[in-house]
Amino acid sequence: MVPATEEKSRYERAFQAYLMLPSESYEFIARTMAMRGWLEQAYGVLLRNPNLSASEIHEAWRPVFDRVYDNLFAMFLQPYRLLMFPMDYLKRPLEAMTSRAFADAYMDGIRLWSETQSKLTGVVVDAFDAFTSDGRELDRSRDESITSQLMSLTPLNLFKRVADEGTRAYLEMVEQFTRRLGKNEFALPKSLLSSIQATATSYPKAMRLGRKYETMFRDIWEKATRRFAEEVKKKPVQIEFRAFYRTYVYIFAKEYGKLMASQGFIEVQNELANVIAEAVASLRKFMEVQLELVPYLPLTTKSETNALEERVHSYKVRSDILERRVRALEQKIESMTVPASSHADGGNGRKHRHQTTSRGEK
Amino acid sequence: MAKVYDPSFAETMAKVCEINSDVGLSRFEIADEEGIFRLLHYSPVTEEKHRPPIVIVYAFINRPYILDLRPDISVVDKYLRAGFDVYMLDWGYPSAVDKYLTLDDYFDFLDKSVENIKRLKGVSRITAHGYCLGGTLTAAYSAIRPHNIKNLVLQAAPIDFSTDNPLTVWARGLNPDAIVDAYNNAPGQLLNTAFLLVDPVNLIVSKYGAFLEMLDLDGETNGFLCMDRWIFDSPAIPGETYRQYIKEWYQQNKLVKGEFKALGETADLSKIDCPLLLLIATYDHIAPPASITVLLDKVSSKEKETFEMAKGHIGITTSMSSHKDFWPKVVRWIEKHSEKLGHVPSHGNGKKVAILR
Repeated sequence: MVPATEEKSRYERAFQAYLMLPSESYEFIARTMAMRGWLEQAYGVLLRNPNLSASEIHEAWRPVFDRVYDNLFAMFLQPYRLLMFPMDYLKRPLEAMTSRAFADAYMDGIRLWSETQSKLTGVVVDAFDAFTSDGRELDRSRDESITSQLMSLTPLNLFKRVADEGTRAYLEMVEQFTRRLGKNEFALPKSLLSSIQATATSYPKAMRLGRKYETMFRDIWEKATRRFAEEVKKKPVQIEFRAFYRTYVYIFAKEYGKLMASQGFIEVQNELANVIAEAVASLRKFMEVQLELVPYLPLTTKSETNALEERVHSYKVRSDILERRVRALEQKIESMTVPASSHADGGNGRKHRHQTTSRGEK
Repeated sequence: MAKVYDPSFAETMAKVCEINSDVGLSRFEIADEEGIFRLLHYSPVTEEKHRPPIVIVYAFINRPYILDLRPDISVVDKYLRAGFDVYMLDWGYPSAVDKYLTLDDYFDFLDKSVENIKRLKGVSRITAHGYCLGGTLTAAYSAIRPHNIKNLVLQAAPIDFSTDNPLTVWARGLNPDAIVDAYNNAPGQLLNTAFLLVDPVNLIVSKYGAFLEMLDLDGETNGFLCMDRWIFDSPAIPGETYRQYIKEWYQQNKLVKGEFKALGETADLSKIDCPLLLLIATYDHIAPPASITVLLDKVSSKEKETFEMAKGHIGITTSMSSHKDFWPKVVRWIEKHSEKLGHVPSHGNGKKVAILR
């Protein structure tokens, strides 16, 4: 049992490092320490079972290497996972890093916000809820692990259905939605429906590509782990941990290097980045349209502030032009009143053939 | 993940806290600023011995203090100690308000800065040192304002974007419109992830594994942390700038084709006629040698030289070995192409001016 004071001091040291370091550095140091620990476990398996074949080693390593995999690629898969499983991301760090009571209080806050949102958007959310409850009845065992995570996400279940069942589910959604709209149907702007449609179309694409992307990472991991097991088995004497670690880095770096440079991977990665961006843009539009439905809400949408910023920038460009014109006039006046002086930089004495007076004007 | 309460984790983090990772230590004053852009003027450490002054233009995708990371590996300090007056453009940290900045805004501030320095120092031209995409900017600027450039030093600056290094291939397949429409500005994290994905195992497992080993052995680790601080200090890129440079440089390769326009003029690289020095990193994964050397055949300069070092894109700036021979050689080259001065005050016209306009 660690004394409370020692525990507190450890916590403080770690927290101080967290404050001092860039968050990525902190994350990678922490992950690398964890990965090194797991590799020591894998090394232990090798020491304790000298008679295992390469394929048996590979199997025995699986649980440990799964954890290493999750740590190593967490950052790269994060943008996709964050979009697809946002509640998971909100909830997990709170549970891990704070007291349970605080996490619960925060989650209650989110629930409250969600309820308020429900009241505001009324009919739209009703339609979502109808679908969500329907979704909960699905047999979870049928789902792949990635898909099953979606079950905990209330509103996004809708899109899981679309992802898995394609057009039929989408049509069902539209039907449910319009049925529930009833006489309110004409009160809602067309942009709301089109933003729902855009979101609903981008989610299945993101799901498909995300799975493909993860599968690419995972396949190489399997291949590299197998190669690694074969390699350490080939050694005539028991390999030392340092050499074991170096072999691991060499084999995995080589395999992933090939993957990252492959045309197939680059295409999937770019497509995924684009689809995630499309999904984010359409979701934002959807949120904005909801906001605009409630004219008394004292909130400005991102599109409105963008328009404002664009206007401000156009004034900056004008001011740049005027500034140059003023300077050109000043120089003209100077050249009329002051005799030309020699420069101290060893210049070639060329006269400037022109003075640019604006962005593009001579 | 390692647990916070794990004693070895706490011990490691306690050691990390003791490491000094202060960066960008050379003193400077802000000579000019406009929105997020700033012109930094470094305080002299010796009397001014050479003219014209050096203007450093770093990329807008990272922070410029990489050239002044620590005193022992500071390019800025090397220039100052050689007796040059040194300015640096700092493109700042764009926020949502800066979404509409375009490449023209960068060229505009660069041009204003050069004009201001000329006036303040009483010179007609400057020595420009462009690094990474800042080098691309500087090359284009030198093509549209050749009369302002006395010497041009381009370090790891991609000019031809048709090379097959992974980052360039990825950028060619990107849809910048989708990214800007979704995020407004291109988040710095997006670029970091792309850089790490070039070689994830070595850039995470190997790199941090080596750091932890050094920490266990009580070896030199502050260089590592300074570097990491810089790597992850990555500003967002203004949306419109991102859209433009991905499309016009990476995808349409306009600069090398002579089709790129800045400040309303076409950047014709053959207009560059000043002495040119290319600094190349052999293992550069962002600007491979072929993407830079193409410039040698494009410019009209009579004096063209290439210094190459067997390092990567950043190693060329921050490795101890490059500061032993490589950078002193660069300083000598600039000295050779500058005017040697007698004793003059550190500010050319004797006036102490903090804000140029």
